[in-house]
Amino acid sequence: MIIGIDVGGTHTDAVLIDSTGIVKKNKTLTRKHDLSDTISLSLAELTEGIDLSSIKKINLSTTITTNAIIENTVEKTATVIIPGPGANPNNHLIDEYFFILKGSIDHRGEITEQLSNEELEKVKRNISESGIKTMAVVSKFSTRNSLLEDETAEQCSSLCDFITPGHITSGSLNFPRRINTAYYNSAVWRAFNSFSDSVISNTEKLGIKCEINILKADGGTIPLRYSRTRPVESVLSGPSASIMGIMALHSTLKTSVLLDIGGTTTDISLFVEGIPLIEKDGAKINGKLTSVRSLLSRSIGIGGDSFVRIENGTIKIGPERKGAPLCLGGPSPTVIDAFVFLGIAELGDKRKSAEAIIKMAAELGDTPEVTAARIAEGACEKISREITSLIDETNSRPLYTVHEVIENYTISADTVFIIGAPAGFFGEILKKNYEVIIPEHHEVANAVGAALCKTTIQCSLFADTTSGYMSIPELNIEKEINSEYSMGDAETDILQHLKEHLKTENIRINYDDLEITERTSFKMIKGYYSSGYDLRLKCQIKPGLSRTLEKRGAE
Amino acid sequence: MKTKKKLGLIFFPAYDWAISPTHPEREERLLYTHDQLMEEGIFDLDCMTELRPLVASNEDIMKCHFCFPDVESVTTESHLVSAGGAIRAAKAVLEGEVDRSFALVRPPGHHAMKTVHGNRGFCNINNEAVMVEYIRSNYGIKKIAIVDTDCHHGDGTQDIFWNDPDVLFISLHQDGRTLYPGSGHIDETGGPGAPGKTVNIPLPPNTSDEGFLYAMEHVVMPILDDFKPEIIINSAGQDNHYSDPITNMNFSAMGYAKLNDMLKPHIAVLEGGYSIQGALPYVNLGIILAMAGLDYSHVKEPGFTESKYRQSGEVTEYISGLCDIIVADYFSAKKNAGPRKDSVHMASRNIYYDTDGIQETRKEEIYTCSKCSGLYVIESSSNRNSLSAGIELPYDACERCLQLADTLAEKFTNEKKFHRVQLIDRKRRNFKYIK
Repeated sequence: MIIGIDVGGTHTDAVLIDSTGIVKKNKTLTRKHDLSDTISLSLAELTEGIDLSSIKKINLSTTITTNAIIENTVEKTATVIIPGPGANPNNHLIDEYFFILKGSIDHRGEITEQLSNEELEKVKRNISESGIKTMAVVSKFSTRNSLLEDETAEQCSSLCDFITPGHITSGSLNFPRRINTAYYNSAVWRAFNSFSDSVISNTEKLGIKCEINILKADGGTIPLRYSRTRPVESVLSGPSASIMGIMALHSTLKTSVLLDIGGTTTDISLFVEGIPLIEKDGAKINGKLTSVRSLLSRSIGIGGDSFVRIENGTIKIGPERKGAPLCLGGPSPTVIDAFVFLGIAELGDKRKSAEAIIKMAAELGDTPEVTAARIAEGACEKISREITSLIDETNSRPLYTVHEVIENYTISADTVFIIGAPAGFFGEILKKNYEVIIPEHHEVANAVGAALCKTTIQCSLFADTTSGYMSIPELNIEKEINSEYSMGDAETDILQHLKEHLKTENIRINYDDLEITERTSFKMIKGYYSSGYDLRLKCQIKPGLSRTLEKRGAE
Repeated sequence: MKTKKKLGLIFFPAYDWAISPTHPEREERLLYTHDQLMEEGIFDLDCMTELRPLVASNEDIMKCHFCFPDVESVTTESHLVSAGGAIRAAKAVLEGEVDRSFALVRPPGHHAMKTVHGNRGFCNINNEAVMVEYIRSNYGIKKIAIVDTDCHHGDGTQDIFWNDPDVLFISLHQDGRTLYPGSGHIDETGGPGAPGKTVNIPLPPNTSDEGFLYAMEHVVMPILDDFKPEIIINSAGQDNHYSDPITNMNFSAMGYAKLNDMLKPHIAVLEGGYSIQGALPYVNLGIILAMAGLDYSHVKEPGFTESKYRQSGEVTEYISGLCDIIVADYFSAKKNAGPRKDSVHMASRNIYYDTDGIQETRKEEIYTCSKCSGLYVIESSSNRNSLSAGIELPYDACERCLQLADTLAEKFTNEKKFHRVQLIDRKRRNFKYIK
């Protein structure tokens, strides 16, 4: 049996799944300041009367790192950057303890300026005096050559408990994103590890002995043990849990939209030919761009509990939530109250909703029916607009080959999947413009998604046969190669090194799932003669599900 | 403090297109530029908007070029995307999406002339010229200046706007006596209908930042101030760089950034530049930062020191004298240009297409007119195409020129000697092959 737990802002959802489908599900309130306790309670309730030895794994989607970053309770962390020439390095300032070092690597990974020992000593003194114990070090083009990062980290290792070198966070080129990612990784390291310790000990106390995995923003999991040095990867796992959940509940997604409608916000994601779209370069966390691989998701401030009022003679909806709907004893009118008035929702004390709608109608000089319909439609309109804008944005992504531009590949979507508590109410309105599908078990789709996600990992290889070296930055591998090194050698290398890494880290996956997703080869010319090849590969286990649940739904 | 500008970037490296496998105009030309821009996080900046290129239509091309035997025969899809990238750049600025834009597209275009039989100087279609006609026909803009900072003389662009009084063309380049295509001397100052509207600044080999910026300050800027264009376009070739393999100049990335900071073009379009590792990543970064009004003072090629590439005193002195003559010529041409008279000017020339080995013979008749910008008629043949003709009418064509064009069109259509006849009628928006 597998357990999936999604710790959300308000609720924590959990499901227990066996080969036949969902055995048990539960919803508990999230205790924001004690997430590991929340998880224990949820687990205890879920596993009551269950043979604990039959539990094979627990997959956990948690807000621990996201909250620490958003609420700015992260640990003081030193950021050391080695920018070399280019844009103004002060643009990358992320926190108070920010140091810029001399030293430079070019786009081919050649060191064009060495570190200055004098400067490095100064930084070390500074870190030591300020009592900082975590650090990030990032050099420009460290994905091509990590030497300057490694040297700096080595020099500072005795001062710090944990150092994140930029190159392990991503194999993609984007210095500012690597800085932010490495910084956050170090800044949440201690909190995440103490959370992990307590999750492990609480689980053991409950008598559960099984592997524990953490859900990532890309819709895959990694072992909790492995995530201890990569805690930043656990951010924004909520939307990815929902996306993977809907894939588990419905296998024929085609090109469609997913709406996860909550009390305060709606998360919007896209599927193209059944595959969820990813953020091109990585997730945005608390307004900062990072290289954390993430499924595409946009959040807007419209939900069932969005605050409704009249401003300057027109209806305003959201983005704030003042509390529960009036019908459920809340303080002010909400979108749900409009649904209740219209008879779309059967919820709580109808009279309280009606009272508010009638009052607003009088102020607007409309009938209460028209007013309630305007509120419901206005909320759905905002969601529709965001869907359109997300599709437009996807369609205007840049293309880099003649072939793609001439093909002018664009997507459009008519089908909308809705999950979340008020899914049915919004669906009633949205079905006028879209084909709306609300799958069974949609209220725990996120936990189902977490439960059924597969382990994912990715790495990239860059080889330059003219200079005679190859690197796989995420795995910390650099080696010399000869001029005969070919695409075939590169493919063998990336697969072999990744397998070795997985073995060392004791991560069990089906090796057949490893695939090479990008393969580019540029012939380098010096003068008018070929001098070698520039090879670039990416290898990954694509996010996916260990299986789907749809069969059972059809029975 | 500089003012930040919203900059539109049309980055189109055409990773699947090359002239030939070892030709400098090949797939990875913009690869390291791409790497540098990605690593700098340029596309993530709030002030940057990355835009997809459009695909130029045959009509877009035919508003500008006479293509023989037809557009399809002299272009590939890549040329249409590259020209479409320039069009997208113009559209973004003129429709207010962005303040400025930079089309980093390939293949380049500034050696493509009025008549096109194939590829010369790596160019088939003149991206800037196609863009200029797109701007004039869609946005009611009249006066446009093109400043060409490629190391090679922009002979194609010069040829296209030679007789156009509303387009000022200024080219800074390595002296034609020492580099392809050999033209661009100071006495090439515009056709009979547009005297002084072509300005050539042929700089001596080994000119460095100092010389380029001197010419900018003492020639380009005062002439622009006088001409008062509504739109300024930079043909942003990058082969003046000290590391370029096929030229002999000593311009730096910082110099290019300063030049753009001074010029403040609305639109820049990439042209040549084949030092794909040592120059392009840094030069493009410098231009982008300067155009966006961002700090470019940290842009520097590895190992570059100003003293290493400083021009000699002799060069400095030569440039100073040269600039004085060019500015004086421009203002005297303006002073001496009386009202346009009705007359016909005939010329003929041979044009060699180095890339494709084509030899074209072109005869032209320029009608200057007292009422409009005048009619332009060409007869052209090459070792690829038998004799063809082209008739072009300006936006402000007068009734008499319209009638003359109609008479000629009918005559050419009936004459057996013409294989193809193309019409560019900007006044009545009629762009087609009439034979």
